[in-house]
Amino acid sequence: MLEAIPWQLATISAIRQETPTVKTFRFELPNLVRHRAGQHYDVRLRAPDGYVAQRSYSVASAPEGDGALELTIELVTDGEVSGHLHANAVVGDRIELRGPIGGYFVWETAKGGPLLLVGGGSGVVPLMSMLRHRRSVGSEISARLLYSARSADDLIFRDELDAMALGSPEFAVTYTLTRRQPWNWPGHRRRIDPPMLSEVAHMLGPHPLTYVCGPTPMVEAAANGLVQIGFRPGSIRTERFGPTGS
Amino acid sequence: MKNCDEFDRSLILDGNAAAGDLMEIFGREMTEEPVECSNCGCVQFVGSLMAFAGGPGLVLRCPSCQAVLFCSASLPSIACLDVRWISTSQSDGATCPKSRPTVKQ
Repeated sequence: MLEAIPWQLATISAIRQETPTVKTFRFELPNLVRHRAGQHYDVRLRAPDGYVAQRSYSVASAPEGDGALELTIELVTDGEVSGHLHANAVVGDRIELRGPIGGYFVWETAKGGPLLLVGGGSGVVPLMSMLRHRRSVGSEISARLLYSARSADDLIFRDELDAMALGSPEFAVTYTLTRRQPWNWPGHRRRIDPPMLSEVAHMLGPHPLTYVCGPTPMVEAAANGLVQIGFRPGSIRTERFGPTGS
Repeated sequence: MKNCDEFDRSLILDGNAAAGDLMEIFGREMTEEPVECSNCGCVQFVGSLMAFAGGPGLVLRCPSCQAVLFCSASLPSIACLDVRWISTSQSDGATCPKSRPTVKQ
């Protein structure tokens, strides 16, 4: 096998609790390669008996970072890698990483816009990297984020997203909470559906670049809904997590 | 051909989830490569193929007709590959009129 991207021993330099089930891990790498927003890293853990577990996690930080890499990771029930990282990992631990990986689910300002982002649960992570990239370079490309989570407590990056929307008239975020909502919740209270997609997308024109990321059922519902409201299938890029998530 | 409805649909991933494994096999980034389905002729990006990674290996299927386009499995001393897609220089991707990002639920 070719070793196209070598594994590196990265050191955890900070851990931030984002929500009750999501943490951001900041890594220092011996050889940090600038990523493209939307790319991911593979994380590999080895047990003393030789057992290996490997998972992929999206980069949350902007490519224009400060020399460190941030992966925002949701704790998955019975998840071998996320479970270890959430329960045991501490600052100073060394973890095997390889990346950045992937070129399909990537957006950078050179690709243009407008930009429609649809995220479910921790599916917002690669979309956040795109939005941080957009902010970092001072882009005025129109962008909308439709973000679905189970409850208000499960919304990752909410303060930063709200500040981003206040700071840029060309960006807006729409939340929907699918299971529990505060009594005074002003946003949507249901799963993503075609009317909701129409409402978010209508100001972007007929052919925005569209990225959808989340658990497989949510991604399929959103992608099918976008086709129903007239989007070209080829303009929709998806990234499914599988059965986990909200 | 096995129909996709026979699978647990929640297990379906996208080809970009296999980007790291594909990079090991091919030595370069593959998810933006357009490939032609050897069964229905649709052109898709590798990153948009349906990926099944929960078993002992990796399987990629055409999202339009569900034909198996790629299989890989690795043992400590051997890697087994079955590649059925057709490389194409078509850079637009997803040109099949039947193509869609998902299959019917």
